Amino acid sequence: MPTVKRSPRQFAEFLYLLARQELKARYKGRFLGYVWALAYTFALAFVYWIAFKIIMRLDMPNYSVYLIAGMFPWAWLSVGVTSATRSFVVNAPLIKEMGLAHAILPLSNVVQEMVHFILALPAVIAWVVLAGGYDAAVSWLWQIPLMLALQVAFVYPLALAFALINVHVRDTEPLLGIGFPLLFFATPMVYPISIVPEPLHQYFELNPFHALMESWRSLFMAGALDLPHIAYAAGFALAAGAVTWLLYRKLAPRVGELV
Amino acid sequence: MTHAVACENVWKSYRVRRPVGLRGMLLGGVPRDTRFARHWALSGVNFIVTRGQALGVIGPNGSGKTTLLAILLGAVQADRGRASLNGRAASLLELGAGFQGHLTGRENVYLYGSILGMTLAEIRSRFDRIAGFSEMGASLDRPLRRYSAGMIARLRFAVIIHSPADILLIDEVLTVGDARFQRKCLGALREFKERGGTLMLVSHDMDEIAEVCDDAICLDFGSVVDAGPARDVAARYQDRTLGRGNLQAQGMNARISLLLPTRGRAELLRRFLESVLARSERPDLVEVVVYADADDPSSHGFQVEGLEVRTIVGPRASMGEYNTACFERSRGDIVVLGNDDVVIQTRGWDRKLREMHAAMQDRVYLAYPNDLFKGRGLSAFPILSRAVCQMLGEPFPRAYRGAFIDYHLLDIFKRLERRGHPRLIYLEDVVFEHMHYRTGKGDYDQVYGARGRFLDDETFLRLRDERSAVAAKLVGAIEGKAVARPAPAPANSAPGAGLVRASLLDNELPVPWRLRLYLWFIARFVAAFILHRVAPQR
Repeated sequence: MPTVKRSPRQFAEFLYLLARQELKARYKGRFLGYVWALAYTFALAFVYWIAFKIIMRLDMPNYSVYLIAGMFPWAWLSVGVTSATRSFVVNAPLIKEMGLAHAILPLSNVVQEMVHFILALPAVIAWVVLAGGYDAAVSWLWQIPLMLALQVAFVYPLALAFALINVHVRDTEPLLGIGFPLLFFATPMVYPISIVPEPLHQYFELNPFHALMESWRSLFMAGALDLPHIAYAAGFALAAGAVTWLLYRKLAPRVGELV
Repeated sequence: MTHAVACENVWKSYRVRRPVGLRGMLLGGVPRDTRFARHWALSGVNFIVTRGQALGVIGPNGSGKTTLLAILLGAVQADRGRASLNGRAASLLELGAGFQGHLTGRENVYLYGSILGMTLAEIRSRFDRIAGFSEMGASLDRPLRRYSAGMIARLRFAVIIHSPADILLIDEVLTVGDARFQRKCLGALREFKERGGTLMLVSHDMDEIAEVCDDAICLDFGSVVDAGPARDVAARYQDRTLGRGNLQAQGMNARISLLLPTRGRAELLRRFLESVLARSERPDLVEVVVYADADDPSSHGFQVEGLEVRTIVGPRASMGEYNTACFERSRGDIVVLGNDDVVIQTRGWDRKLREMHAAMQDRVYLAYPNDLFKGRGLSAFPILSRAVCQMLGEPFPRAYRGAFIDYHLLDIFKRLERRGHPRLIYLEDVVFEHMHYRTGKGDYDQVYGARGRFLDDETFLRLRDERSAVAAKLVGAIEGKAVARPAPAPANSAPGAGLVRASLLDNELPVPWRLRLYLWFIARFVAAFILHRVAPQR
């Protein structure tokens, strides 16, 4: 369907340029831009820390590390999917004029958020080591890239699916704006799963987002891969990928005329 | 393969979503046709561009040019037919895609080049030539939002002409730059062509088309209405639109004849004639030929000041005979079958008919206005050129006693469509409002009641071979070939077999039309049977 055939190398370059121009727009003030982007998530974590640790007197060691280790991957996930949902509508001229293969646009959003996450990693690691007193593990050098790949495989199908649906039902975007905060609190992010009543655990464990977040936290706080959760998240990524593939085959042809 | 661009019988419609709304859903009253209206952007477009050739695409706004490019680019999918680009294509369309205001000119060149499929190495090696061609100089390092529209257009053109594409699709973008830069662009396009590149150029600038392109097509109403050497097509188009050249050839002074059988409806007749006069731009080029029955003196001798109305008084006869008698006494180039329970609502309806007539170079068309009742579904008020009427021989067969002439004509043009000549033109914006009693806009009177509802079915089926033959003749006229009259199929007298042969099994008809005819006739047979049982005295 697309008129331009891209080699893998050209595809990677194109993705790089797309992501770079977005990041450039975001970090306009360069260094301070980076600080602001970090400050937002840290400030949010601080608010939860006050609310749960100080006011609600949650009894949990290293609560601040628990928060930080989960919230950055979550920001990647939620911002990536939300901005990707808009991507077809925002880039309508590209799709209409260039006959651009649509699927690359949400991928660019997911990759942008990944770059953002990678840029934030030093701060996250510094927090884990300095505030939590955990040792930085050499094994992170291969474990973190593995987790990055897992999260891309997890997030991209969602991003593409919602972008496709949003072309047909424009209400998808505001719905996601409501859905992600709900999901955030339904997933053990600001509270440990241990305070959830025992009989409900099995239901919380069904949540693939919990599996993904738990994998990240286990990496940062135990220095180890949490294989059962990783396997579950990967399984979900595969299933979401299959569903999105079917959806793409069905909805993609009409994207050009509907945006 | 030498085809760089090929379009084979491409059709495209857009669904016009007119929300019915909760109120409309509950209260009803939304005409069937407007709820799921479809707008045909392209109907059966065919052309081929050979490698190294340049094709110009011209036509008025909304004629389907941009849809055509979008389909070629793969951004929009055709409903039917095949469009293909055989090579590496790049496009430059009106919208201004791919350029970002917050990036500098230089960064935009890289991003845009990458969108077009170039590697960074390729862009780097061409960058100096791109910068030189665009004449940007130091501005290249300023953010694009400080550029003027002309500067952006220059930069985009510079990138695209230096891209490795061998097919360029360009839509009305050269008009932005100044005259000198335009010349430079045209020169670059010619060079591109000499290097073996293929070009499709959409433009409203006829000189540009004539200068750069070898051939051209003119789109109108979603069809190719003219094709040939670029210079000729451009000249003909210019003549039509600017009112130059031979007026007779353009068809813009075509006379319109309204054929109007009437009976016992003096009031409605007056209302119709007044709407004709009030809504015409050139009433001097419109004539109305009225047929009134000898036993209906109330309809005789109608006159409206400023409008040529001629009345034929004759015996009571069939609808086909009425129309034929009116047609034989009419002189217009455009023939419209009217009705007395109609009100013309569109100001300038006559100009729109003439424009359509002029656009159809070979005059082979069946157009019909929007009657706000049957809408697109049925050509309730057929509009034909005199040329077609003559080719049809008996355009309104006398054997038809009622209103089946609409179906007869529609069926002929469905056969044309099946053979790749879509010449059915629905003039959605020309409103002939049908005040039929079933729309609730008119009263039920004895004229409606006196109609024989089921008299024409058999005639329609019987005339199937005639329709087939005249369709072949029209195809011959379009393609410029004489066509031998095909041998008539053996008559089949088994009851019901005529219907199956003239609908389901009729290979000359488009499949949806076959199904519609078949179901329509079955429904009519059932209705006739029930009415016969309920009121056998009829």
